[in-house]
Amino acid sequence: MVEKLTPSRVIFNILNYAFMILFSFVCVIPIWHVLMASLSNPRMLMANSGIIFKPLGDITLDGYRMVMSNKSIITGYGNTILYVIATTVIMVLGSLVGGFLLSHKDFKLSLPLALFIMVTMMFSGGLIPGYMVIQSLGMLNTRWAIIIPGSINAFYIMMMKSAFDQLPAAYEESATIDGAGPLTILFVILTPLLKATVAVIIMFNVIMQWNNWFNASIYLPKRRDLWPLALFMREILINNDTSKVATQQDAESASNMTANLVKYCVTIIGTLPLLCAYPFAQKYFVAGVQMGGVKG
Amino acid sequence: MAVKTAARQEPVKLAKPGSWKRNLQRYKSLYILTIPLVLYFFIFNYVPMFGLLMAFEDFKPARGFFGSTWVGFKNFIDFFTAPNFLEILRNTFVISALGLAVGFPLSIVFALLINEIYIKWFKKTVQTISYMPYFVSTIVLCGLVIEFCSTNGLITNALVSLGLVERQNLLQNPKYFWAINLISDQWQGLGYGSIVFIAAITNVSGELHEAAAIDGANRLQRVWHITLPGIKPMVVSMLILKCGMLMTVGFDKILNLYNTAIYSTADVISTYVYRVGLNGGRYGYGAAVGLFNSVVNLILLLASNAISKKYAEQSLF
Amino acid sequence: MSKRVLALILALTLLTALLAGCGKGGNSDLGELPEDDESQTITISYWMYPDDYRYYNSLTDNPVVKVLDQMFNVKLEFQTPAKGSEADNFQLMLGTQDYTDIMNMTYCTESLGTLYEDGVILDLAPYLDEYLPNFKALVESNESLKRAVYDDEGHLFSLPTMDNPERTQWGGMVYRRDILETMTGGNVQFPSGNEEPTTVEDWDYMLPLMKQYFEATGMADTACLILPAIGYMATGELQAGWGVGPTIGLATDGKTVTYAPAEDSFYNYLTKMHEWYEAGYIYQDFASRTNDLFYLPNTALTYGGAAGIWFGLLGQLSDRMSLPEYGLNMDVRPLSAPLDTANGVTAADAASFVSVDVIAENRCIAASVDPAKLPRILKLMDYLYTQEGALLMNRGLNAEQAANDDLYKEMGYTDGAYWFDENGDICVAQWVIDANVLGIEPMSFTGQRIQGKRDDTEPDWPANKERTYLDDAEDNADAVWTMYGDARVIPNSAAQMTPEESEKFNAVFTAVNDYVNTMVPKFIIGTEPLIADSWKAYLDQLNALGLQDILDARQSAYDRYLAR
Repeated sequence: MVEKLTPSRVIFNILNYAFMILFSFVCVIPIWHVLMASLSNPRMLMANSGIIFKPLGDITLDGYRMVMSNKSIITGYGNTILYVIATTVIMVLGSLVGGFLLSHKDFKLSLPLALFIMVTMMFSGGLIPGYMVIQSLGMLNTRWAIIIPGSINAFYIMMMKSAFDQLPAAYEESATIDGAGPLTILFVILTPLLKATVAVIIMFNVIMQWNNWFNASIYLPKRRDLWPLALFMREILINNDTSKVATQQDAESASNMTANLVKYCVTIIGTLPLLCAYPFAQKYFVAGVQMGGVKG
Repeated sequence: MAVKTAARQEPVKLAKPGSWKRNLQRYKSLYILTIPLVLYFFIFNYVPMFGLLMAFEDFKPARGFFGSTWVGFKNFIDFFTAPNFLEILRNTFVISALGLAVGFPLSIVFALLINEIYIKWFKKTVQTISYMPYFVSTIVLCGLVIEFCSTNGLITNALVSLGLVERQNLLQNPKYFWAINLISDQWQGLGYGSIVFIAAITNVSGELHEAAAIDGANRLQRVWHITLPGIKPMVVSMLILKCGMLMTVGFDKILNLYNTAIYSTADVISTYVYRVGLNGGRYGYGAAVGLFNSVVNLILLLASNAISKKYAEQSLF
Repeated sequence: MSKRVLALILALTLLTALLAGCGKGGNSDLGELPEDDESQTITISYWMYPDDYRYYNSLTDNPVVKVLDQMFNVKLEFQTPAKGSEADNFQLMLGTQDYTDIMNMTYCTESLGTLYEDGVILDLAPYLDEYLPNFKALVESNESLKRAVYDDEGHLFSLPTMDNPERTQWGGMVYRRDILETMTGGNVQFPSGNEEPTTVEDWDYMLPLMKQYFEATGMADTACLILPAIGYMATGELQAGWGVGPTIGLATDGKTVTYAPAEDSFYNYLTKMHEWYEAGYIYQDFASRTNDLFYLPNTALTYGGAAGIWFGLLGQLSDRMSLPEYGLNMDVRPLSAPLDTANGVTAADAASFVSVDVIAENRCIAASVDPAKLPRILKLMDYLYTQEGALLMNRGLNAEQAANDDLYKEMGYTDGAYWFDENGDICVAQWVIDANVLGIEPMSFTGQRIQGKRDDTEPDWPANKERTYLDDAEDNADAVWTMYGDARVIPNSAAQMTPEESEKFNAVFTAVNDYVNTMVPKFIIGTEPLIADSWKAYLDQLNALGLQDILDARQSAYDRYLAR
């Protein structure tokens, strides 16, 4: 659809584009700052204050070399990818089913079920009982402790519910008349219509799982080989925190200059894969979003 | 759109009220689907709730839930009479309400503005970039904020040269914490928060837009009469959910940002629970404060749901 | 609906009972231990806070642990949480009653007496003669150890790490001498007439010089004096100059327990700090540097040559922080607390410094331990208190052991970490001495995480110092940092409170601490005026919060310790 360009429209467009450019700039700069700092000369980095637009001194990869020499990083990457995929599959299935059930107004359990699920958003038992449940299920120190308990949550179900609510009932009615069962309706007919929302909750989940160190720190104390990247990263960040000096030995090995550099490098190593993967994923995401299409 | 929503509710009238048996027969597979979901939430969310007992105990980890002394409401009373009770409550509420009052409209406006961009690659690039801050972990974000707000930091420098503040460390002055927290939250979450709205906007039928354009509605009118009503269900349900979490403030963020000099405006319930409950080893007290928080949230959720039911004719349950 | 809820509650209660099991109450007495079948390999679980994992994935693979495994035919299995989650994990272990056999108690907030009464840990006194002869001999040989290890009723709850009281201080206040030399053209003259700054007056002379120096360099962020975020040093080094003790310490009589931020002389300290803050001598951002990962005031400012006085470490002394290639030549010297002579503070009032305690980390045996395993566990622990054990844990493997160790072989350290020369003096391998330069983590090659007694075969320095990493600067620093003695420090071992005391203490300590940590930075920065009225209101609030309860609890614990 071709828009008529009135003067007010032109002004609006100019302002809008200018705002977007400015906003993008503000979004990018701090990340750029960290990236450039991670390549900087560590000594000059310390004396610097303010934004770093290009690496200070000669570009150095020392920090990255130090971080990558830590073999945990590779282990962590592998585990994180596994956890992200596994929880996403469970989460999507659970949220689709949950959202479908809740949105089904003539299904008698939808209201009690909604309440049942919503309560979990409000109340949680806390760390100790949670641990005991995982322990009694025999999941402690296994991958299951990360994959199963945290994946389905009320928030995603509620999001799917409101997405289902927006769909015209006609789809389901006609499918029912054609003799399709609820499962067929859900996965074959309705889900493709909700690609966009599914894409959104997948993205939520991927980011959350990518940065989730807490569950692993609680449920996997004996199995470092199962830890996700985020937990290793947190260790490295905290390890280099000289304000938490415990002993002389710790202090002296930590207080060298590269400690500061390492933080920036770890940040980049932990963030960059997501940042790089996102534009590719976005292709599908946007395609999903534009199903309903702003054609004009 | 409104018409269609109404159509969806029609089948409710078709089902005979009170007839469980018929409902069961008709939606057998739905009932079966319910079972694993209920089990999941029961095991992982409800069973651990016995831990709430802690709130009524002088909980000693070594003695467990059944060996600890039962103290009734003592922990709650201790909290309500704590010298900083009102301060913490106020901070929690203000920080969260500010986030809602500013952040929520902002992300809708941002979604609408993004929607007004026609150059495809530009739109895509801006969208991608606007999500980027969300990928930055909280701990990194806080490090940057602290650096930029220090006495000689970037933001301080800018504000001083504009004559808005005196030279000082902005994070050491209780006056500025709410603003710093709000702005950094928006920086990180604006693009990301608008995703759901962008998705909702693009789901709004294009034909309606075209029809309205042919009828001579201008852009603003179409946004007002078509886009906004189109995303209303999404907006309202998100709003209710957010109201239900009004007393929940991101814990990581504040913990990494605040310092003792600004506890008076920065200390919120979750950081207080962490400091006193976990670090101080007073688990029962911490659990009581947490439970109080949950109850307030629940009340807010029910209230906002009821209000929305009445005025927006939409509700979560 | 209500029926549903009822059913739910019922199910919940059932599950709760199932999950929680029966809490074990009362004291545990395992009675006579069974005969130890040494041909049987046993697994011993051990809770330990994390190590450096550059060379292996778990402490189980530590070379020293492997030697112990072989020696005692055991398999030590470590439960080590992630860094930063130590406290959570430890509390979880207690809270879920899922104890390991041996527990390092560093992150324990409960008193050992309480844990014993609750049936969590064992009293090891009954096993002393039969299974812990070396430990017993060591403890009996030293009065202060004896006082620290047994409680009032003669219980033995812990097999602790025993420290060498002569060990050098690892850190203290330091200053940049080179700045003063530069600014005065090599003619530094302190008002007190001393060679080194010793009084507040001296500091008043020194700080402006530093400020001028930094202003001339044009650096963005500088700090003449770096204060900790809470505005005072928890261990008391700085405020000692004003006659203030450590946070919880002793009055000058050596008997009365005091709380530093409520002492009268703390007011004088704050007044001076506020004055210095206003004058721009104190790091302007000190209060906001708490959980900051990126800025690291200490390293960024100190190593960047932008700090004048800070809490430094041994490894930063003399010219070790210099970076000639950047034109940065530093002369870092140890610094004692500045005496507030204007208010009549004398050296006797200033007594307090980081104390080296006779016992460090406590290690307890869980009451849930399998009695069949206990003899072997105790024998293993006892070995740590022998000379041979101390060498193994502190120094690492000797040549013979190293020849069989994969990590040592891989690194090419087949000569071991130490040996004795013809005079019987200990010699340390060159790679250990150069560890920091080489970027090696020396702890990974020793068993220092689980040591029994600290090495008392410390090379006799300075006579023998070329064999160690200690030198004159460090020797001198130790003298400066401990100049005023530790008469006002309460040893850790004297802080063991009874269950009632610790309950009283825990109930108010966080609130009091919180309040102090809020107010002190405000007083220093000036967001809260420091006048007689506000000071009185501050003290009143402290009392209202229950400060006296804290003091009472600690006082009675200390009195008992003195009487022991």
